[in-house]
Amino acid sequence: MAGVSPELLGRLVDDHAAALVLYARQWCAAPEDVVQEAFLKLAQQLSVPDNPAGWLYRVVRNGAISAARSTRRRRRHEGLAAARAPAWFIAEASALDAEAATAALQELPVEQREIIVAHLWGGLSFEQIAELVGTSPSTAHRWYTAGLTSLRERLGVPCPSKPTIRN
Amino acid sequence: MSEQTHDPELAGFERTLKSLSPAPAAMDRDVLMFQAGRASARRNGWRWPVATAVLASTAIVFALLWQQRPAVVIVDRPVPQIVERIVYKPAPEREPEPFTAVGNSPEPGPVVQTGYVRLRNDVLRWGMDALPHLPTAAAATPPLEIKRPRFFDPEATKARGDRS
Repeated sequence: MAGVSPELLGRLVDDHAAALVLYARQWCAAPEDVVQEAFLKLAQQLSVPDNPAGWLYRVVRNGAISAARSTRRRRRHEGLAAARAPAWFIAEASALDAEAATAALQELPVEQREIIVAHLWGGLSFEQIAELVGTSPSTAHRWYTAGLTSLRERLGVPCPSKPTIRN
Repeated sequence: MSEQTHDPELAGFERTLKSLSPAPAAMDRDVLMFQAGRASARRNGWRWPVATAVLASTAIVFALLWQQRPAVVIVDRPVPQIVERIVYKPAPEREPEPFTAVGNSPEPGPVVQTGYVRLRNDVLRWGMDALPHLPTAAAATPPLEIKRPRFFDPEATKARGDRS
């Protein structure tokens, strides 16, 4: 019964911390705390979960929803935090404006938004997302497609001609 | 479930959207790793506190039970004492012994009981108590006679010779 090794933990932090923070940001205003708490919980596990990334996303999701509930009780504080909300993406050379993309993402329903974040930046498969969200993979895929379509319309992105195949 | 986005327009937009990089987590990685190490060390640290708590609770329970135990009351119960007393019972008076014949003669004749026969009959009837009290050893023992050694005594020899 081996716990999580420091090497594995460091690799998970390097690979998933930013995406997890973005994922937690879908619900709460202090996503770093939630993500850090999730990593600490992972370190306390007696055995390594079968899918550490999926486990982390589940813990972050539960923690972020719980944190959002507590924040909602303090609406005044929530308003101040929302005013100081940091950017979701790095403003670097991209075909999309980071602020516009953030705003468009924020307007999406949370069910579609969390699936887009978990799949695009978290790298989770639709099976993992379905298990995470508590739905079927086909439903998760349908919500993902609907969210992408909605985002594209909001952002007014011209359509490229080449299809993408993800592994 | 296929990971492929079939709509080419949507696939292109997906690729464009993915080119956005999430803002880096505002977390200190070193602090996180340090706290994770402490958390993993604390993972098995509950056994000794639990054992200590259990033992302390047991000790407290026993202490309370010891304090609330019923007081020891010493009750003196009289012990039945056996007192030995000597009770003197008067000996039954002897009835006069009828004259009985000794032996199996069909026609007992008038036999005079001698002292020994009477004593035997008394012993057979009353037991050893019927025996007369013996005199004490000192009284019964005759005085020692000191014999003189027989040396030549001319006077005695003369006297014997005179007699013979």
